[in-house]
Amino acid sequence: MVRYLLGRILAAILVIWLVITLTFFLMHAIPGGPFASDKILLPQVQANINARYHLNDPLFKQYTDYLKNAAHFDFGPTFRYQGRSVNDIIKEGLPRTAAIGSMATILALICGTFLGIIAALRQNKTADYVATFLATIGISVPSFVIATLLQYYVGFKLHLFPPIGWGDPNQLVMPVLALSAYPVAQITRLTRTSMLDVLHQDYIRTAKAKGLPGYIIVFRHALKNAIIPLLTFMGPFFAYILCGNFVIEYIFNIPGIGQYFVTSITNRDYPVIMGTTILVATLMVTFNLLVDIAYTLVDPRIKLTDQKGV
Amino acid sequence: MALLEVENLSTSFYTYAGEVQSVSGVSFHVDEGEAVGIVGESGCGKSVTVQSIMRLIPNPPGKIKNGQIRLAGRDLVRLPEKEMQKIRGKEIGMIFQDPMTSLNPVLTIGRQMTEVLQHHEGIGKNEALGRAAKYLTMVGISNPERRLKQYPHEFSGGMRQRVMIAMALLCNPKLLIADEPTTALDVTIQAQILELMKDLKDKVNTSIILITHDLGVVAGLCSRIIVMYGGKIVEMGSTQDIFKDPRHPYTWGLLKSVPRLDASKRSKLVPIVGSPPDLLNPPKGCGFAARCPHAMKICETQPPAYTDLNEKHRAACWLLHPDAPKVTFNGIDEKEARS
Ligand SMILES: Nc1ncnc2c1ncn2[C@@H]1O[C@H](COP(=O)(O)OP(=O)(O)O)[C@@H](O)[C@H]1O
Ligand code: SF4
Ligand SMILES: [Mg+2]
Repeated sequence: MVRYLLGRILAAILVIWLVITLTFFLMHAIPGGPFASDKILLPQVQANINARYHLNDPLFKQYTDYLKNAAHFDFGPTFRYQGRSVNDIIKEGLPRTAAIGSMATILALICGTFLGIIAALRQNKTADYVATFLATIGISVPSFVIATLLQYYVGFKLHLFPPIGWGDPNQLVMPVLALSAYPVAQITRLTRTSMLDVLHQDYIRTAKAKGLPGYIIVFRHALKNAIIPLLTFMGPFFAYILCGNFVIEYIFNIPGIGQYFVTSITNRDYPVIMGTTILVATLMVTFNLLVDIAYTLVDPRIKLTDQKGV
Repeated sequence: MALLEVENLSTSFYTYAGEVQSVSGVSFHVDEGEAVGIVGESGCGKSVTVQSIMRLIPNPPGKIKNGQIRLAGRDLVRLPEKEMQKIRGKEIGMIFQDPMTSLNPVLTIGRQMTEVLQHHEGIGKNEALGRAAKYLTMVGISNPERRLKQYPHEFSGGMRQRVMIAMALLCNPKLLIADEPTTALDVTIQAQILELMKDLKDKVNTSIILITHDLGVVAGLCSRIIVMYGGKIVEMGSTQDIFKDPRHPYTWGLLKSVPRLDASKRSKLVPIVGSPPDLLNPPKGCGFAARCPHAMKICETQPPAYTDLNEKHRAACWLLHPDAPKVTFNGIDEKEARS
């Protein structure tokens, strides 16, 4: 187990290094620099700025310098926000993104499994049809449409929740709903399918033959088995929550990582692009590792060994 | 005294194609402390019969259409589900065919055993673990304390079936139903499990219903045998009667198609030709008519009634009618010997 984890962590570092290298060179391959703007700067000013941010160094030196600093978690100053470092931006944006993301995750897991269980237990009855219908909507309507509709009707027309902004807990409601719609739908569908499969297994018949009441059969015997195939969805699920957040933050004007990321691209704010990309890559790699560990907690037949590869 | 009385039980499955009459008009009883075997080819309604007793028929599509199932006088068919839950696992224990899939893969053996005791007897976890360990020892599993902490995949097939048996006996049920407990196991393990069941039968005072499609398996354990065919009982009697004086041509066919320890080496195995009747459209007359070497005209049109041959022995065959030609079973049937 320890060896497995060490291997996985090494592999994770390798992945992150690859991500850094790729983004770094791709970014520099894009024409234009961070300080190219409509205003024509005096050549001397331009030269000063380039020298200040080491933009005149050979590209490979810039790259190795960046790696060295990144190894110390120093992602440099921003180009666009005067006197602030990338770390400041992450410290400010990440808690907001994490708040929305984790709330959407919890909501999706609770609602999704709940709806999925109900649908499976009431197979081909009204509750099942309702849940399946909702799931189909959640899967087929993109989150930005749901976000915009919520914003317009619930926000502007009904004034139930503030349509945009950050700071008031009420402002969390619509972004979280919009972000969780798709995962709720997916988890509902997956839970339903997997529950139906599990409920027909022999060990459920054994549990019934032991005289156990329905709730014990569903929650102790069926659910734990039904969750196993769901874990496979958790990797893509976290990726969705992270990236979906970028869109949602943009629509609801929430100053989270996503918004900084999007504006940093239009600004060609290299350090912010790099910093946020590395952050997202690190989060993804970590989540995937957590999911694999979760497998072993739920399914005793799976042991994390070195054979399974890194 | 009869512990279990099944009277005129009919269970059907309502499928898109129509009503599958899996069990129709089955009556039998099991005495206290008695072991009864139910034999018959696959698909003849053995499992549906015992699952009806346990009220484990999935509904929909299945339904107990008719009949009474009395356990110590109480009719189980009309019992509310809540009451039935108190019978399952406590008064009737059940073990199934496939020990590889019958235990929950994500729960420890200890959890799966103790939950029965905690639920039915409301005893604490430690006391339940103690009892579970005792029962594991009883079914021949050594190191029970360590085994209780393990998961099913850490047990072999035979060991899992031992666990199933221990689990079914935990609450000292009055009746143990074993639905083909050895079919999925390889031959040496089969013999061990049968030996264990024989051993336990004398130790714990339960009645047993043992289902199998292998007559050889029942012979050693059961004092009485029920032969089922096409959802009906075609013959039943003491083990002695069924082996030494069988009266139904289907029983003859079974006896000849099954390797038996007590049979002479010379008698060769003859499978019954043809396939069981379609329970979606059951035949009007005798269900065995299409495959019976002795079928007569009346067999096709009218179902045969039971003829009582002695106090325990009865069979449903037109050959037992006083006017029928005399045909007897002698191990090798004459008709087949000629062909
Ligand atoms: N869930 C079900 N739906 C439809 N038909 C069923 C179902 N379960 C059993 N049957 C039918 O009932 C008949 C008896 O089955 P069963 O009791 O399992 O046979 P066996 O004697 O092999 O145990 C079979 O013809 C089978 O097709
Ligand atoms: S009733 Fe007729 S068909 Fe049926 S078993 Fe007897 S002889 Fe054969
Ligand atoms: Mg069966």
